[in-house]
Amino acid sequence: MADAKNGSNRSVLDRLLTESSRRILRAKAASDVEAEAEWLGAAICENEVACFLEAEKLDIEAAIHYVSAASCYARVGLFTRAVPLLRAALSFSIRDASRREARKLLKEWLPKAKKQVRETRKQAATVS
Amino acid sequence: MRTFEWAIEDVIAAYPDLGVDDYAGMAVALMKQAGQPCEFKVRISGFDIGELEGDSEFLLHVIWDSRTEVAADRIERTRQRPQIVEGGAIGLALLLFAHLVQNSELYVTVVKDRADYWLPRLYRALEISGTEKRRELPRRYRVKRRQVRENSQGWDGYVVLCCFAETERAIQWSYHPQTR
Repeated sequence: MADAKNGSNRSVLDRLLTESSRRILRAKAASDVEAEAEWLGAAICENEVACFLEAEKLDIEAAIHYVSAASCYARVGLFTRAVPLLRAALSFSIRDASRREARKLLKEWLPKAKKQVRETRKQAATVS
Repeated sequence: MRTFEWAIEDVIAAYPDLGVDDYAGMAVALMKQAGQPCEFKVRISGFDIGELEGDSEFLLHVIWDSRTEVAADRIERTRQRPQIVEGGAIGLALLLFAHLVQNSELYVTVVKDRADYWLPRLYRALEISGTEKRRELPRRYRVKRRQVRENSQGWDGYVVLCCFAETERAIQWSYHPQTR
């Protein structure tokens, strides 16, 4: 039963990894007009992969995909979504070089996320 | 020196679920001025390829069909040059792995603007880079070598560096174990 469940999980994981890789490759190759939608699709996919890996207790792999999802959101300027994903990655025991890189991204993106929140609030206040 | 001649479209068949058609087109966009077959001198280091029988260099001749050339024309009109150069390098790297390395299924993640490639069945990381300027090769090699050694999984890894300069079309393909 355990083997069947593991086999089934492996199959789901392979499909998820293939799908998210395909979306990332499409986003990288996309024209400027198409890129935003492609990166958003890649971000959602990578987030799903990361959650699945975390549930399977594959922490290092989960961290890689959390950073990847964050990077995809950052590509379209959605820093308020990117920052929590970086924090998720940093919650795992990852390699020093990876930790330094994630912290550097957090330092860069956190102020941008804060600015985004302010601008959203300002727009909401103007409308109301 | 051994010569291999392969169609760039082979990458589409080798990686059918990854949708790499545009990368084949990008490679052709960079090669079509040279005409086909487009020749690259490939230098390998840090590992052996059985087919080379101990040699560390071979010639790669790349051919393509008219449909891919049409796609290449479209790509040239709609993409920035740096994107095409990086994409062309990805196309050539996939061509090498598809033909010369077994179990080379791969998946892709990103860190900020950088893509990381993973060969999960081999437990290897892969860094790919392309340039049209010969003089950039040493610096690019140093950067990619460091990146592959610092990969998040702690795996050994490959670096594939493609030069699309008119006067020197070459590929450096190297293997880097983790220091233990």
